Amino acid sequence: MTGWCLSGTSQAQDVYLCVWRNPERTMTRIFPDARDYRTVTVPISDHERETIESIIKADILPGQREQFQYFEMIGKSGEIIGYIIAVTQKGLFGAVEFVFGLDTGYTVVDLYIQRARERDQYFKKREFLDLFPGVKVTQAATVKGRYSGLETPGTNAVLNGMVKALVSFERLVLHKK
Amino acid sequence: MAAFTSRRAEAPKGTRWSAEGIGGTLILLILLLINGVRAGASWNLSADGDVRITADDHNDIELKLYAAGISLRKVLSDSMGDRFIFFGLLEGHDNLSDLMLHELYATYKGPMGKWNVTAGRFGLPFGLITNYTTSRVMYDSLYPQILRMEIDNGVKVTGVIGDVDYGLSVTLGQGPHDAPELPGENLVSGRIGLTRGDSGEISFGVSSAAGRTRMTHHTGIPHMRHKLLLVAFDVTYEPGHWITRMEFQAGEINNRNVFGGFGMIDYAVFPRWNMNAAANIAYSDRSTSGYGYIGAEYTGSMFTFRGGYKYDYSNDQEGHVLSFQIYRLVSYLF
Repeated sequence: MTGWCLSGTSQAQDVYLCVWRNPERTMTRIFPDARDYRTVTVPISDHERETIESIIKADILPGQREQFQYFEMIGKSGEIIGYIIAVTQKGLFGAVEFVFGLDTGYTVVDLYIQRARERDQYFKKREFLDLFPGVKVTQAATVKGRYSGLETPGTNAVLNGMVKALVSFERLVLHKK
Repeated sequence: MAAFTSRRAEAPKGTRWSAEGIGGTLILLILLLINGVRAGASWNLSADGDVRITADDHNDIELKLYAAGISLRKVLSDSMGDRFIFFGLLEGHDNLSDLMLHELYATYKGPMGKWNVTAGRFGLPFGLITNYTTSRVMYDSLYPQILRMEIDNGVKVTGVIGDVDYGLSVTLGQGPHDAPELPGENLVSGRIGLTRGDSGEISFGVSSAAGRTRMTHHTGIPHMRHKLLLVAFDVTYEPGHWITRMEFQAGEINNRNVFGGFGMIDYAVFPRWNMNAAANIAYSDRSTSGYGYIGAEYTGSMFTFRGGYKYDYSNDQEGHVLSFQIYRLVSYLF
């Protein structure tokens, strides 16, 4: 309901602004005990963006350069029980969109692909997606080492997007807490 | 919700400025400005333009700004989560000869989106138009021939519970081209849908609409009121590099049978290149109309280009149309 996405796939130009059309369905899968969620948008300064880009060794995509958005998952008493981050990364056939959850210890709990038009669909399979639960936000540098199979635009989009999102969350959220 | 949440109704015949549209947009902007400063939250501003050139078999060639829109969206939260969503979309069609406040609504969001209440001018929960619009592509779904409006004024309740989503609206049946008038014609629309797959690869929906509408709301001519009862079944399948959508509708309008079918497929052929094809056929008011379309789409870094051939059929009249579109969308968070 709340989320929406503009990506380069069919309707827009090279704008990778996320997300997404039916967030509650996926949020409930990742955090079945969540009572609700809250959208949080964090501005990115030029200095912060340069720092993130130097860590991930890539430019942040258009549409993601000024603000970082995530969702706080709210429990029955109003407490935060986790976080959801929706990621859009460039694939070969447009945007690859995926969503993952972090628990309150800032560890990845689950990941779902939302939309992608890549030829190779291996990156949507559970055996690939299950490589990421257990990764902590501070362990972004280890993400790419978890996969040693055939590189495709889809797998690279997920790996690069995951690194970008974890580093962004660490620099823009955790460092300010 | 489509990527750019706009829905285009058919082009009007004359030039009309919608005073309530302009005024409503200003009110929305002021409200959002006040709320935005207080909440310190971000806004999303989007704008798009759709320029088309068409050539038909009567040697008519036309170049025009087919549609342009500007929208503003904002979410407000309280301590328990996102609570209010505000959205406004100002659109102009046919070289901006028809300006309208195409959508303007406020949504109160219930816990985890299990129920949401929306008031204002919004998309109807009926068939494919619930989550999909053909407003910026080169072909139409069934709504121009049967329901004849995607947007209406009123109240709706929507929600998502697990894999099931639902929507039920009570609206005036007057469409988006004029200021709302009371009492309305009164239209009740509803859809219940089911989505399956980890990525939501397939979804189905069953819908119904009943009541009265102004089916000529987009033409600028005196309003003709129609009584209708419709049912619809829709399906969307997105396995990966191709997408297909289909819809079937049947029912009665003014006690005469209507039925129709629509289908489209979009296939990612090369990076940035899609091929698409679509067709529909509708029998309504004792006449048959439809089309077949095949085209291509290239998404560049600045513009999207679409072009294709369309075979039109209406009341034993055939037509052949070549069309080309340049489309641009920009969107900002601030």
